[in-house]
Order: sequence, then structure tokens, then C-alpha cells
Amino acid sequence: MNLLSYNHTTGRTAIAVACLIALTLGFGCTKDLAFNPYGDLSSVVNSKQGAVALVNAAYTGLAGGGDYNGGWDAGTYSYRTQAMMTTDEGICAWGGDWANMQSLNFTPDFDWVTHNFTKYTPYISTITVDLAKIDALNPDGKDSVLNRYVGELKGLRADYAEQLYFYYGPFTIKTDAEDAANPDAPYVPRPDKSEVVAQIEKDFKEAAAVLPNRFNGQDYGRFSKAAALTGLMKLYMHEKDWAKAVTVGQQLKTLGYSLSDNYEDNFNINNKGGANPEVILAVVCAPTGGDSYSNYWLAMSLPPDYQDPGGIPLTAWGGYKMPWKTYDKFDPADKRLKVLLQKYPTGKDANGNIKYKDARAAGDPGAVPMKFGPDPSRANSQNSGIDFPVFRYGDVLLMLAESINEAKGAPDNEAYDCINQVRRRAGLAPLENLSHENFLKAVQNERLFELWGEGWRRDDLIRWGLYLKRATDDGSTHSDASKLLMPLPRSVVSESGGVIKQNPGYK
Amino acid sequence: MHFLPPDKNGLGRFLPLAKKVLIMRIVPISCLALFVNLAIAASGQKVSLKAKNSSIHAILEKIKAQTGFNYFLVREDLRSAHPVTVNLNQVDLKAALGQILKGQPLTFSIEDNVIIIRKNKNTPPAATLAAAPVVVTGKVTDEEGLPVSGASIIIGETGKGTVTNELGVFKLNLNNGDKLTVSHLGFSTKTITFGGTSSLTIQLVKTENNLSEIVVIGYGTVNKKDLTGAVATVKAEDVDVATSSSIAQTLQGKAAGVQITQATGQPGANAKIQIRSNPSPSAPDILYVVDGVPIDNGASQPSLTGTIGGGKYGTGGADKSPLNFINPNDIASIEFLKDPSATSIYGSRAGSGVVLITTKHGKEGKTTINYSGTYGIQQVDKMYPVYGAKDYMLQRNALAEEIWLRDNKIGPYYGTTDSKDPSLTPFRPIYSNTDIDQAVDYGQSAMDAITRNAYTEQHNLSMSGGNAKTTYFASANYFNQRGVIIGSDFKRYNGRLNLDHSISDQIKVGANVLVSGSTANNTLTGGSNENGGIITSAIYWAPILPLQAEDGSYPISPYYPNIPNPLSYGTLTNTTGNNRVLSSAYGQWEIIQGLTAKAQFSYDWSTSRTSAYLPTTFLFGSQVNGEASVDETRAYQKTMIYSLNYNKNIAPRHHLNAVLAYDYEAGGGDYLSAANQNFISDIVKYYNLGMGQADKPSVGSSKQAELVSSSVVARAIYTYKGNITLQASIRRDGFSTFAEGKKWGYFPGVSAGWVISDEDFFKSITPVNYLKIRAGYGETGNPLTLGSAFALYGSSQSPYFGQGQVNTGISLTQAANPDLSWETRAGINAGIDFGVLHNRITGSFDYYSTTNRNLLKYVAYPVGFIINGVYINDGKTRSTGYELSLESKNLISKNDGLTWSTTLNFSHYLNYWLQRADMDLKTLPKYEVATGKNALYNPVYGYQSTGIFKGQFGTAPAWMPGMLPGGLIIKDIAGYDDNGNLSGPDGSISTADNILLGNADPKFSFGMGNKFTFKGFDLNIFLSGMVQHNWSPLNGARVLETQMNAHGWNAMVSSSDPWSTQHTDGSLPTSLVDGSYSQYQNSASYWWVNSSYLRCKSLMLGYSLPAKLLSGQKVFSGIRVSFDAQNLFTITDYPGLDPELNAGNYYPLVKSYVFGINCTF
Repeated sequence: MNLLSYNHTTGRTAIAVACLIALTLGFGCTKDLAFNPYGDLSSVVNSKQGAVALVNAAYTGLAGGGDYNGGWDAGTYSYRTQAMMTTDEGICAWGGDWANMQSLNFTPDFDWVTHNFTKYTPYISTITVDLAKIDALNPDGKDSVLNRYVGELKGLRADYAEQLYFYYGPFTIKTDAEDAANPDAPYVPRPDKSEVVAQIEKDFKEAAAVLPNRFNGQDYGRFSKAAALTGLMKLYMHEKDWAKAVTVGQQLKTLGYSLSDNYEDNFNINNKGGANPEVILAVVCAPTGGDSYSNYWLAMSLPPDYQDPGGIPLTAWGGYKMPWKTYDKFDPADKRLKVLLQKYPTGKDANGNIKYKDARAAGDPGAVPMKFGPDPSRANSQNSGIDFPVFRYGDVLLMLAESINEAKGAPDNEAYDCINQVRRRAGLAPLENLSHENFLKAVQNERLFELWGEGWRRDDLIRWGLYLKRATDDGSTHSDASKLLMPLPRSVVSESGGVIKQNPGYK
Repeated sequence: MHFLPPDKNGLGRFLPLAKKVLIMRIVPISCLALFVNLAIAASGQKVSLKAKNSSIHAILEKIKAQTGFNYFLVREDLRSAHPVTVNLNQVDLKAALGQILKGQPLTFSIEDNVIIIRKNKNTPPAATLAAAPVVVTGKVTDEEGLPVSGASIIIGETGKGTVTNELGVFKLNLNNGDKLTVSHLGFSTKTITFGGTSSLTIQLVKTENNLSEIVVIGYGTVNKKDLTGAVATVKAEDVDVATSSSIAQTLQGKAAGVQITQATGQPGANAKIQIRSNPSPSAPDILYVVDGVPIDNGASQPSLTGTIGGGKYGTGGADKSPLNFINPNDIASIEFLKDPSATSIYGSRAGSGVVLITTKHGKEGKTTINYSGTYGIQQVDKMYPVYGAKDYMLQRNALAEEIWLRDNKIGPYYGTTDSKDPSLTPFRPIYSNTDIDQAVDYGQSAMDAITRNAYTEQHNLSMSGGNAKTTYFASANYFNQRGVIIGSDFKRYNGRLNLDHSISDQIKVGANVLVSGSTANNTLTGGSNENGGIITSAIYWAPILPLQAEDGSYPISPYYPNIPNPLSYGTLTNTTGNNRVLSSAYGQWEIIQGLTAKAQFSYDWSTSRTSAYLPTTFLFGSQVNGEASVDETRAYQKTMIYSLNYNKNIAPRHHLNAVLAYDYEAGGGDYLSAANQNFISDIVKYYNLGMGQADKPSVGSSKQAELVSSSVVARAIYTYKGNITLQASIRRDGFSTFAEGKKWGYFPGVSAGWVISDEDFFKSITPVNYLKIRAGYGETGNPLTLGSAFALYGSSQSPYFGQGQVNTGISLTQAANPDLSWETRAGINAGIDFGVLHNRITGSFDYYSTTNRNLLKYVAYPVGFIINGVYINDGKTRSTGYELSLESKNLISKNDGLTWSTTLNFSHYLNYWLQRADMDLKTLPKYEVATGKNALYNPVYGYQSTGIFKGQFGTAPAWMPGMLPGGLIIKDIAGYDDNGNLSGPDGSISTADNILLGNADPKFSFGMGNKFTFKGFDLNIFLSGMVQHNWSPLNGARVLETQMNAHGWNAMVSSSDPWSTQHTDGSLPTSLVDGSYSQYQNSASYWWVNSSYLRCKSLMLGYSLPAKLLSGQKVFSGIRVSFDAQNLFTITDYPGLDPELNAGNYYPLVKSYVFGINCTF
């Protein structure tokens, strides 16, 4: 019996072991371990539907690329804020690092001034990779839609590169798709500025050649021919290539843009959807569009006790101000003071009359820069749906006036016409009979009154040689010539093993 | 003796009968013998019969009729038998016979469907017996009737024998009169003489030793004595579950090398468990295995969405513990597998260590019903100390004056201006003396207003029992905790059923079902500025303002109107509902003695839903007329495990315990969210999202890629002489996220243990009762669960065009790495276990060193590349450490006198980088140590501060020109050269001056328990602590220009004064912010402070009613009452709220006083 049972159980054991081994080996070796991510768009990216989505993604750099403080938005890293806080346009009540911006106390350890280089160089390389993908879809170059995408991408690439060039000086713009997609690509020294300027010029021109004059309807907000030319004109002015700037400016006058009747309509709900004839390029916002695509300039600027007379709830952190010294340069009759307040509403008295508080009398360091209007949708007290204009025709007119004055050594009729169109709308008397120097001074002031808070003051002051002087006059001990450029991130220098050099004056 | 002559085939009666020839020839040798010759069709072996004073013969006839089993007996033997009275209903034949022959001078055995009745102890002819051993099934139990597995049973002097299986059962061929020696470590050895019964129950008596415990080791169990790896066991009775929603909180300091930290005191919140440490960026969570089923964390608590809630509190709220779904009262024991030789059996999932949780199962015997209930009161352990109204005004005035001095460059500290210069605008204090004199404190501070006395209650009912075939354990638990911060609470309902059933002696099946539902009302804590939660808001709150207006509304601070009123957080709704069902079933077949096949399946399904409403009484709700959101995550995990276990004495003194298993797991989940705004009334809350009138209600969903793993496991444990153990295991794991061709990894483990004290040569060393050395090497892995090896494109960057319409964008969201494969964690562990002075002092010590290679790390690409980084197999990290645990019986007593015992555990570890990949080195800051013992895995870098600059204007150190007086002086250590490399001191402060300040990991962690008993009383005091450093919370929460002055925020009271022109000997830096140097000063060594602490985690006094008192009634079999105080005190120099909590205004820990009662019926 023992023998029998032994045999019997051995048999059972053998069967069990065999089953288990079959199971383990069978499952273990053939079990499908494929990775199946849901919603991966790898297969879509090389199609025409994918192409438009790649182009769309490239636009996010205009709004900070998920970085709600950046791009043409209203926060710390945004161009409009940095241009305001490092010039006479602005001052911030919060102190701390904001005071370092004011005094040009820049070091490579100060993230606020190195941030944008890290943020936007990848956009440039990504566009280069995207362009190669779209070229592959359009071998004969005859697909007009794809050609338009190429134009938009080149316009955006030039625009991102131009801003970085203005802030950081010459840097390598990756234009070879393989190189751009290779993380091990060798480092190359920073190019000469002529090389950078030529690349930006080329992209803007190629974009202008294929893009429509302006975008409307569902496509409002895309990069148009007018946007490409405005960018190009800024480049020429930065390079003091006045004759070319005049040519481009005159070309821009033919594209169907005009000043809107009211200055403030560029910055309130009336700037939406392409209805405004003056806006050339805007970051389209939505109050529910996430922080990058919403406008919270007012939250940064309104004093805590500000109360909207219309009862719209508004978040008010009370940071941004325009110093009284600058505010006082305005003609009190200037209609543009509607959006720059010395007295602001703080609620209503018992009789329903609006109460106002005088910010100057209260000891505030500056006027309330209420450049953007409240969003009547009331969908979000902090994030409004008012668009951020990037390029607008008023700017173009003043650039053209300045360029003509420089190119010809004196203002001509066209120059007067340009600046006086802007002044007329502001309710100011036209200018006449000015010398080159006085005309330039007039343009310098007019650009402040017209364009403050729009991101151009830093570039303007540098072009006029007034950037460092402003800081010194305000008591800064840091305003040496090195501050005309911001420092590159340390990582760029150290990762390249010193092939890429830091801007002079920074360690 | 007329007994069984050879039949005519010449075969002895007890020799095997041909299997299908069931005809028994009756050979009448003696008329005294009764022979029955019958054909038997073997059928069921169940017996039902009733008999009163029947003869055994008559009863056997009935059994024959029912079972078809023939019987054989010698009639003479029945003479000494007495009549039988039995009442049997469907009883197993053997048990039936056992009852029938109970107390009779007879014994029985069953041989191939024949029942043989013999005279007890009446020695039959020796020759016959020697040829006729009886197969005996026996069971070894402890005093409580619980099975003792691994007990050795040796037959006489033969040296032959066996070992009990995990159910305490053994089988032996025995002869009547055999002497059996039953021994097991931790029990007194017992010798019995086999009396011929075919089933035996042998009860062992425990000795004063805990080495007899069965330890669960993953895919099986071993005796503690046979352990070769580092395994720490915590028994249910040693943890205090009175106020804990999750077992995790109660384990703090209980096991050496297991570090538990609680980041927040929010009811139901997670406590972080860390076993040793796993210095890897891909370190997974600890693997929890509940009754053999690996479980994952379940559905994670979804973040808030909605335009407002998502933006402000998306990442806030409470992180609920994944272990909440397990009722702590159901847990029988917890094993921590610490070293790779112990965890390698779980391979890739075990990198961070394994926690094996064994829940209570039913026992055969009387039904036991247990009820325990606790009720406790709770209060905040400590709240953030902030200034009262008067002090707030004085502080603000002083700060404003300092700012005025600086802004006007007034000498001697800020410039050369004379403070009496008539052209100066004179300083105007913010608050006049009258204001200050008349300051109203509004009765209570904001801190007091948001806290309340709270309570916790728990009711737990369990029922267990069973018979020889089926055992069960069922329990229900209700846990309710009201939070000490307004608006927070936690309720949980748990149900559990464990069922085990033996179909036959060989086949066993079982099922476990665990159902859990919980509801938590969360309050929002943490955060800063306008995104701050209730505690942040209360810290900011200017104490000169009323918290609630007379009309009941909640005013907003005019100084900083961007954060809601602290009390108004109590009006919002943020509820998390979690549901989880974990069901598992197994079937087990003992194929032959010692060889068991087992199949186990489980399915785990969980959901977590956060429902929120920001009402119009709450600042952000009022701005949008209310915002409601519902967010839900769901998760599933399915597991199949097939195993084959062999556990047997393969020869005398040689024991083998082997396992072969296949393990398949797949899990995934999804997410859904919806939110709306602008409701006509707050009444609707989140119940009807469709009622909102937002322009664009938000919706979202996602689905996770299913993570699949497939594994083969093999392990053998060989024990020689019961004191030398060798163990080897290997696991092959496949995981779906790795690159093609790189999905499989092998994880081996080997270890050995030697109980030296069992050797003869050691017996003379009397002070040492027990000594064991252990050593092992093993490998485990860390899987990649956050990413994968493949390039992915996602719709992550979408701009808006037109009127504000979104336009979908596509971008590369993950870069491919075709080489990506397993990270391997390899380690050695060496330990000793000892018992000295009659085991009055026992303990163990372990040393380990573990190396993680091919670290899975997301490494940054160079600046400017099209994607930020990629997962790579980076270099190596090492973790070394040691652990000591001791138990001392300081006082012992035989008869209910005073006893006192102490347990102590102590551990240390150090983690550092051995090697880094080039790609990683490229982006490493130059000041960081790349490799070696100073290349800490969690380093804290900062600046060396050498004191406060107290000098006058113009005398600042040369390398810190223009620094503000009162600021911290930073040491200039290095600079950067043109290539971005470090150079010598450069006369200025930059990041190059960073130095290694210390380790973010604690240096030592320890726990100490003291237990006293006296008669029915027991007292447990448990302390735990850590030696560590932390950033001081004072840096960000003291009186500061950018906070108190800019926003009117209140500040934390400090024991020292800041430097000011009035207090130039202040020991705290100035309250002014130095634009040029504050970023360096904020991470100066001045703020890196000792945060070591010793905390009295619990003090519990219990009293069990004496048995005498209970003997008069039949309802209760035991009653115990207890009083328990938790977080009684903390000794620390740390200036903040708590050295253990996350810095950053989190939910405070609570102090609890709990009354409990425990009744057994």
C-alpha cells in the first residue's frame, strides 16, 4: 500500500508540477507586456491634423507656455512686466526682488532675469523640428494650408528669437531639425550678432511672404503678415537700420490697420475677436482658459481697497504702480489718463455716490496702472478674458515717426502725421516745427504715454541710451553697461563647459 | 492470542489488499472472533447516529450500514468495554470512532476501508506490530489551541520523525508504545508514548521565549528561529489602535529601521512609512501584502478642479492614507521585510521594502464575539504662536520705523542722513499710542477661533469560530473622528469576512472580502498668499480685526483682501468619499504530505471622489456666485498567484521548505471631473452641477496606461539539525513600461542563519541562552511607474484664438529611451539575534549596505533642448545603516505581581551617491559633491553664516558691499570662472558659496516602550524620537518687511529679538529684506536648526477584570477597560509647530485622551 500510494501521489505531484511549470513558462514568456498608453498622439503628429496642432502648440510661447507668469501675460517673467519694472514705467509695492528689478541688480543667481532664456530656447528648437515634419507632408510645396503653417511657425520662431536677442544678446538659433532634436549635439560658441539678426530677418521675411495680411474670425490671434512686418521693423530699429525700418513701416500702413477711436478699447472687452482695427497681434484670453490664457494684470495692479463702480468682483494684490515722477509727465488733459489713476473708487457712500481715494495723498508710491478693463463676464475675479495686445498699429505709427526722423535726420510730413494721429486720439495738440532732437524727445515721451505697460520701454530706452541713466538717477548702484543685457543662466555656461560664454560683466 | 493468521495467499492481514479486490475471506480460526465478509462500495465517510447505552458492536454495525466500511475486532476485547451513548450528526468517521471509543480500553485504526478495533495498550505480539505501523495524523498546538508549525516530532531513539506543517499538523507511521519527543523552540519539550490512537493532539507549553513565532515571509511562513533575513514583526497587541484610522500611525517607533512620519494631523491623513531607505528617484511605495495578496494604493484622492478651487487648492487638501481601508483591529500581525535577501522574493516591487499584513482568521472551537469601543477627547497639541492685538501693533510700528530709517538713509546704520534733518518727512507710526492702549483682542485669536475640542470614537465588533472543517472571522468597524480644526472630520465603515474551509484533509479553500467606505470632510491647509488654507489665513489675520461681523458674515481683512477670512473656511464643502472592495479567494491542495499547491486570485476595486463647493460666504465663492466640482478617480488591480510549496523533513535532520510561484498583476485606473459656477443659491452645493450658469463649465477625464507585471518566483529554505538554515530564491519579473527587449529582470537572493547556541560546544556558555548569526545578499528592483521608455505626444499645449476658443495643440510629452530597463537594488545584511540571562534580555542587531544601480531617474536635457529631460538608467547610490532592538524583562513575577519590561529600538542610515551618469553630472550644480560619502542622497546645501552684521553704514564686509545691517554675514568660499567651474573665493557672494549643511534624512530614529503589569492592571508608555536637523519655520513666518509691512500679516512669536537700530544686540536677523543678499541669507546655516525630538506617543493604562468576578455569569468571558493618552508631550528645541510635521502651515497634531472598553463574549 505504501508503495502504491507512493506511486499514486508521485503521479499527482508530477501532474501538478507539470501544470504549474506550463503555466509559469507559458504565461511568463508569452504574456503580453506591451505598453499601451491611452491617448498617445504619436501617430497623429505626422498627419495634416497633427500639423495644425503642432502649430497651435508653438503659439503657447506667446502666453508663457504654461508658465502663467511669462510671455506676453502680466506676471513676473512677462516681457511687459520686465520692461515696466526695469524702467521709469513702473515700480512694485511688494519690494523684495521687485526692488532688484528696479535697481538693475541682476546676477546669474537671480532667476527672474535668466528664466526666459531657459523657457524660450526650446520653443525655437521645437519649431525647427516641426517645420521639418510639415515639409515632409508637403514635398512639392503646393499645399497652401501647409505653407501658411510654415509661415506662422517662422513668424513665431523669429519673434521668440528676437525677444531673446533683445534681452540676452546673440545666441545660437537652431535651424537644423536633426541638430535641434539631438540632445548630444555639440555646443557651439555664441554667434556674431549679424548672424542672429540675419536669421531673424530671414524668418520674418519668409513668414510675411506667405501669410495673409491679417487673421479674422476663428483664426484671430494667429501670426499674420502684419505681425511679421511689425517684428521685422522692431529688429531694424534695434539695429538702427532706419531706412529699412521706414520701408517696412510704410508697407505696414498699407495692410488695412488703423487706430481705434478710443485708446482704452485696445485694452478692454472691445479688443476681443478682431473687431478692433488697431490690434495686429494679440494673446487671446478666456476667463476660464487657465492662468496662461487669462489676463490678471488688474489683480497685480489694483490696490486692495479698489472697488469696481459696476460691482464686478476683482482680485487686487496691489503690486504694480507707475511712479508719480513718471505720471507727472502726462498732460492732465491726456485722455489716456483714463487708464492711469491717481484717484480710484473704493465703494459707495450712503447716497450711492462713488467714493474715491487719492493714492498720492494716501502715500502710495505711484498711480494705479489700470491699463486693462475689468471683464464684464464676471466669470473669474482674478483671471479675465480681456486679450493682451502684443503688436498694435499705434506702436507702428510711433516707430515709423521715429525711424523717419532718424533716417532723414529730421521729421517730415509723414513723421508728423504718424505721431499726430496718436496725439489726436489722446486729445492733445498736434506737433509741428521740431528739430530732429526735439522730435525725438517728443517721440520718447509719446511712446511712454501711449505704450506704457506693453513691454517696449526697456528696448526703447536702450535704443535711446537712456536705460542705465534712468536707474542711476533713481539711486541704483548697479547700473553699469553690463546691465544692458540680462545674464544667461549659469547652467548654459557650465553645461557647455565654457563653450558658451556668459554676457560680459556677469560672473 | 488468536489473531490473524496468514491467509491462504500467505499474505498477512495488514499487507496491502489488492485495490479492486474488496472481497475479504473469512477464515474462522476462533469462534471468539467475529468475521464479516462483505463487499464494500466505498462512499462518504460521514456518520450520523444516535445511540443510548448501545454495545460497540451494535454501533459498528450501524456505521457499516452507513459507510460501507467493514470492521474487524476481537470479541474478547469488548468484554472490558462499557456501553456507549452518542449523538452524532454528519461527523467525520474518524471523529465518530474517536467519540465512540472515548474512555474505552480500545483503540481503532482504518486500513483500506476496514475499521480495526483493538485493545488499548494490551501489547499484541511484537512481531506483528513491528510490521504494522499505524498512520497517525496529529496536531501540535500551544496552550491556546493554536497550531504550532515547524515543531519537530522524533520517534524514540530512531532519529526518525517529522515536522508539523503550517497548520500544526503532522503525519507519522507509528507503533504502539513509540516514544515521541515533540520539541519546538520557545516551548518546553514534551515526550509522550504513543497509545495507538490514530489521531493525536499534543499541547506544548510556552517557555519564556518568543522565538517560536511563526513569521510570514512572503509566499510562505517560517519559524522565527529559521529566519535568515532582517524581518521585524509587530504584533497587534503591541500597537494602540484606539484613535487611529490607519495602522500606519500606530507603528511609529515600533520597529527598528522602520521610520514613520506624519506630515499632517488631518483626520484620516496619511503617515509616511519608510523601511530603511531606498535612495532612488523611482522608489516605489512600500509594497503591502495583505494575507498574501499584494495591494496597491488604490484610487488616489483626486485634486480639486474648477476654475477657482483647482487653481488655488488643486494640490491642497488632505492626502488620505491608502491603508485606511484596513481596519486596524483586524490585523493580527505585521511583518516588515527589510533587507534585500528577505524582499527579493517580491523582486521588482520590493525595492522600498515589504509590509506583510496578516489579518485575523477564525479558530476552530467556540464562537468568540468581541466588542471593543473607545471614546476620546482631542485637542490641538500645539498651535502656531502669533502676536496678540497689542503686540501686533507694536511690531508693525517698529517695523515701519525701521523702514523709514532705511528709506531715508539715516545714520549711523543706513547712511549719513541726520534723523533730525528738517527736510525729512517725519516718521508717522501706523498705530497711535491711543490705538494701542485701546486695542481689542476680540476675545479669541484667529488660531483659537479655527480650533475646537474634538473627539474620536470607535466601535469594533468581531465574531470568529468554526469547526474542524470551516473557520470564519467576521468584523465590522465604525470609526469617527471630528477634527480639531473647524470643517474637518473623518468617518469610516469597514466590514470583513475571512472564511476557510477544508474540503478534505488535503484540500482547503478560502475567501476574504473586505469592504470599506469612508467620508472625510477636509479643510484646506498649507499654501501661501491668496492660495493659503485655513491655517495660513489665521496666521496672516491681523488680530485687531473682528473675525465675524454682527450680521454673521465673515469680513475680509482690508490689509490683505485676497485670502478668505479664516472662519469662513468652515463654511465650504470639500468632502472625499472613498470606497474599496478587496476580494480574494484561494484554493490549496496538499498533494502529498509536505507538498501543497495553491492558487490565489484577488480583485481590488476602489474609487475616490472629492465633492466640493465654495459658497458665497467664502471669498472665492462670492466672486463667482459659488463654484461646485466633483472629481473622481477609480482604480483596479487584479492579481493571480499560483504556487507550489514543499515543506518536509527530507531525511533525518534535513528539512526543506521550497516554493515555486507564478505571479501576474495588472492594474490601472481613470479619472473624471466636472465643475460649474454661478449658482442661484448655496443650497444646491455640488448636488446638481447642471444648475450652474458658468459661461464654460469645466470637464476633464483621463485614463492611465495599464501597468502589467508578470513574475516567476522560486525559493528553497534548507534547515539542517533545526539550527542551520540556508535560503536561496530567485524571481524573474517582466514590466510593461520598459523598452522592448529590456522588460525582464532577474532578482536573486541568498542567505544563511546559524543558531550557535544549539550547538553542543555552546551549551557550557550559560549566560547566553540564545545566539544566532544571520547573513544574506539579495537583489530587488525599482520599477518605472511614472513614465515609460517610449516617446509620447500629448495635447498639452493648447492656445486660444478667435473670441476665446481653445485650439488643440500637440507636443512631445515624453522622450524615448530605447535602452531603459530595470533599476536593481542589491544589498547585504548581517545580523545577530541573542538572548542572555535566562532570556531576560533579548535583542538583535543588523548591519546593512545596499547599492542601487542603473537608477531610474528623470534627468534634465541641456538647457534649450526640445523637451526638459528623459528617464535614464543613471548611476549608483548606496545606503548603509544599522539597527538595534532590545527587550529587557526588568521585573518578572510568577503570581500577578509587578512586572516591568522595556523595549528599545534604535536605527541609523546614510545614503549617498557612488556614481552618476555623464548626463546627470552635466546638469549637477558645480558646488554639489557628485559622488562619495559626502554626496548625500538628500543633501541640504546652503550658505555658511558667520553672524549678524551689526556694524554701521559703510563697514559691511568687502565681499558683501551694501549689505543691510542686521543681516546674516555669508562666508565667501568660492566663485565661478569663465567656463562656469568653481574657482577660489572671488570677493562676492554667489551660488558658488554653497556648502553642504547637512542631511535631510534623520541621523537616528528610536523608540522606547515600557510596560508594567500588576494584577489586572497594565501600563504602557511609549516614546519615539529622531535626531535630525530641519529648516527653521521662523525664517518665513517672523516679522518681515515683505509680509507684515507689505500685507499687514501677523507673524510668529519668536523667543529672540530681531536686530534693529533699537536692539543692535538682537540675535535674530533684521526684519528688513536685503535685495542683494536675502536669497543667500534665507538658506544660511543660521536657519538650519536642530529639530531632534522625543515624543511621548502614548501612555495607556488598562485593567482587565479578574476571572473570579466574571465567573458568576455566562455572558462575558473577558472585560478590559483602558485609558489612553496620546501625544502627551514632546521635548524639542525646534521653534516651530512641530518637528515632525511638514513645514508650511499644515494641520497640527492632536493630543488625545481616550477611554476604551473591550468585551469578549
